[in-house]
Amino acid sequence: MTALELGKKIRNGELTVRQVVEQTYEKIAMLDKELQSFLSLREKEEVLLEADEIQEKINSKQLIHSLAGVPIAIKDNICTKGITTTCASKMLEHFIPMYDATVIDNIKKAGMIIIGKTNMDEFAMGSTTKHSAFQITKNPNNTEFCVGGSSGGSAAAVASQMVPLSLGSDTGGSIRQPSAFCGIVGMKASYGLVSRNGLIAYASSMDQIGPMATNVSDCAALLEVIASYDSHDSTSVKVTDTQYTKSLINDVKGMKIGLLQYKQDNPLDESIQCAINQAKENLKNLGATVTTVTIPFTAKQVLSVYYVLACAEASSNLERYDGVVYGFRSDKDSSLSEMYKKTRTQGFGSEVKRRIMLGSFVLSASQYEHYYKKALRIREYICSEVSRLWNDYDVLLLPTTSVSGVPIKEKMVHTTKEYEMDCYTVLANLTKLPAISIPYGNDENGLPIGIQLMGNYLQEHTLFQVAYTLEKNMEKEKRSGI
Amino acid sequence: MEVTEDLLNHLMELSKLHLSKEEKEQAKNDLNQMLEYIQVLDEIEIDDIKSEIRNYHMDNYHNNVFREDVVSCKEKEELKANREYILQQAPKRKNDTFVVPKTIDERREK
Repeated sequence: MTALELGKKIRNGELTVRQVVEQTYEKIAMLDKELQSFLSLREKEEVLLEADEIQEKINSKQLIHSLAGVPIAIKDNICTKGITTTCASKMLEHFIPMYDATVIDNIKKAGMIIIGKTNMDEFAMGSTTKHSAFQITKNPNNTEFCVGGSSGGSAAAVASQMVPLSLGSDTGGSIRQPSAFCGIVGMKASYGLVSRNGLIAYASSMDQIGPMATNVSDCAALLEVIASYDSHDSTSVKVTDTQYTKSLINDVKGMKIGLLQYKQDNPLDESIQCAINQAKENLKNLGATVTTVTIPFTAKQVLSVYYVLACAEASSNLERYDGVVYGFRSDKDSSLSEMYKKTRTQGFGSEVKRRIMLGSFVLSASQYEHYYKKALRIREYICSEVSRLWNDYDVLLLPTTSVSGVPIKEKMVHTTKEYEMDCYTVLANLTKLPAISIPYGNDENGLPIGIQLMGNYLQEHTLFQVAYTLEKNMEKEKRSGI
Repeated sequence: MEVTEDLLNHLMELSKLHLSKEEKEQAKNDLNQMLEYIQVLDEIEIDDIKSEIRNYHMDNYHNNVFREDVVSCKEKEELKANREYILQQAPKRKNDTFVVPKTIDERREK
């Protein structure tokens, strides 16, 4: 059952919100011991009382939202008042925010029910969810394999249908990549569409909270809930029309699709190349034109720009974790400066420390011009090259990841090898453009593959239309389900 | 560009991190790898590109977003409650202050 179908059954009286909550906790009890998607769950009794309140409001027509009463899981870097928000880090292991993120306010107003907080790579830095300080989340399709990251817990919770919806965050692909690995739909909207107020920052010029669901319609419905102008976020954008569910139209006739490629041929897993070819053929058969288009950068160049800027911003954003006001502190027999060092050394995991040091390096006085400033200018160059494509194309088609099915036991011999998985997703973060990953078949091991669609700035409507059409027209055997 | 012992120590100081001997070796390898990777940025000639750095796409939406310098919480009671909430999270607190180790010890270290 989709989230929208569930919402309908609740409004029709076929299901009570209480029943839905009971079923949710049953499913979690059955599945999550193995999957390890959740870092924390709200007390069932408390949630049942909330369910009754929401039921009242639905009965009295106070709450009429299409998702009222639907359960949702929240990535643990999004602040939820009264509920621990850890970023999967020892640094914030016992941290309880004193306010809700704006997206949480929106979710509560729509009458949705927050069940718990999900596992992630520590401070959203990673592509496997193995960098969590607490637990590794397993792929519901095959528990020997990674869920991807950093929103791995959110992806697994939805893919295993413990909850129909979840929120993740995406800085370099952290919603789209785990969505692809787990076989669900995940979207990062245009930068500024969804408020970052209450999102614990990793790289402020790229972070975006986004919806994760089993299908495009639910994804659009959830985006409608969380997209809003917010005066608490100075990068928030006022958009008049956020009724994305109206764009769920099965039609791409006359649309111009660009099959995006990097300057040098990048090795793609064969099954992913097949999926892209299949999507291309399907779009053509449905009346769109699909043309290959190349941008004048290699994947390595684009990735490097991303890592320089993301690590630089992260090193600055994570300076606040010093043990003084909140969070973990280690101060046995210390001076103040020793306290800072011990706190940060013990509180942060190795991936976080790596990125902070790289960030400090590129921002240091002697290197600033050479790395950071140069990366900023190349980012502008990338933005301007991609923006030219919208003269000729409505939507771009590209892979979500270059690989599928990464075994949990596989040790990344090189740090940079893990980074390379992001080569197709970082583009949307650097250019601030909306991008969605939809499931499109399985690889030779039976693990899901995702394909990615990118749109022009604030053109989510067009993006949803193409995604919805592709989804509706997939051959039955390509539809990935568990 | 190679990560030397001195550079690593400098980065550790900048980042306020302390690494053990083994961790330092690992960090040196990791950072060297990352630096080698980002050398690829040298391949791109950007002198011809417009040098201004601006927020692409955002020009039409906002530049220099300001707000009035007033507290957005309306109720004084809410402010008081928030204050207590914040102080409860403090690693070490004394009344309405955060307690930290003495800074004066640092002068002695030098």
